[in-house]
Amino acid sequence: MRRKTPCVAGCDGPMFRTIFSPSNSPSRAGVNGAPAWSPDGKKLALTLGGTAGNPDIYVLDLLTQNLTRITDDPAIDTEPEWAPDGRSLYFTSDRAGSPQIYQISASGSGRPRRITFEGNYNARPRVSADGSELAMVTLEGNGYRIAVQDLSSGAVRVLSHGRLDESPSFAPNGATLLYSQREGGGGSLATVSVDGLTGLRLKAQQGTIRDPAWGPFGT
Amino acid sequence: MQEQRGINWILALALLFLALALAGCGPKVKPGAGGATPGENPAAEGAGAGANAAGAAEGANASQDETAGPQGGLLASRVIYFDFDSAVIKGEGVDVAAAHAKYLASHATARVRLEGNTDERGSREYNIGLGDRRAQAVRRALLLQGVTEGQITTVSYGEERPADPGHDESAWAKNRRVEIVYLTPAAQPARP
Repeated sequence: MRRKTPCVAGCDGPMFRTIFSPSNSPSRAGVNGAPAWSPDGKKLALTLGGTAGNPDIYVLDLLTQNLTRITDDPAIDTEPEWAPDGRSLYFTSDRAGSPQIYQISASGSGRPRRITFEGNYNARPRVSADGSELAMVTLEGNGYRIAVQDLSSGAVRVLSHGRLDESPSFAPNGATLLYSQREGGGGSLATVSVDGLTGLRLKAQQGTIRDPAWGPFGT
Repeated sequence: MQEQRGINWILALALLFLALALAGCGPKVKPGAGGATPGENPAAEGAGAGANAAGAAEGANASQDETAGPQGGLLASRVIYFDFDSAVIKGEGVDVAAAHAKYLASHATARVRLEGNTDERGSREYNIGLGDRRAQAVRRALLLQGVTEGQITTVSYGEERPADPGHDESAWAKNRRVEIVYLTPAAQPARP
């Protein structure tokens, strides 16, 4: 029986280390997923489901192994994403009946604030490096598309036009987004500029591509 | 040469017959047999694994436990379907859950794994949560009908293990599901 356990892999080779495993704590049964490094690399935000199957957001201090519960709601809370200053987390929750994006303090205090209000499906948040914009997957018509929300004005722009677009990732300079799309059988990568005007599709030689992530230096 | 071919034919027929006979073991075991599952018979289990390895119609998603557990009537149905972004058991799913609850409640040694799945739409991690919620919905239904906690484990595969690889509503409807997988006693120690 395979379980999802967050691991770390070395970028230059297959060097894995289990950093958090359900086996070293029986209360860690259920979903262990959606890990996200804090900007300073000292903490990991992640989703734990527990035996009762209630996914909530936790923050693991990697040095002390202290685990702090961040959300506590019967809804699905998942996909944590750190704000660039490391003080808050964005996450997906369906506590209002459909998946929407919320922001909460990374210290575990305070109540979450709802960020997205347009449409019935907004998930998988990613924040630009300057913290001004939020990229997400949004349902528009019958297509799952990449949208960007200006975090100060709340204005939303839908940037892609596919049916099953997923996994947006900001370029470090915030000008372009990388995402995955599925047409026909396989998956491919695509880029779109944050103004939505130019895009590029990157076809894979083989296999299916998903969940792209931009390196921190953009090269 | 001719004779050699004849012997090969006889061998092939004998193997086929043996396989059919062993495969037939499953349905013959009655639900009332004191919680015994066909998996307790090593020979039957071997035949089940062999059939899957041979690339039978079940495809890559076939579970090795597929032949285990009770058969007949609603108990032969091992899948409960859901509406989009919903974990509410509906329609025939209610009866399927009730049939398995009744069986499990009266067979204390029988155990199941509830595998929650979603269609491919939306974000993957959210779908892991949604699959988990569906598995939990079935778990709660079973517990309410007398099944004990120790008989049930749950897992969510999210959108990663579609039953139908298509990209339209008919495929998605088949993929929004919970599969009820009966665990053979022999299979349990193998789980980490």
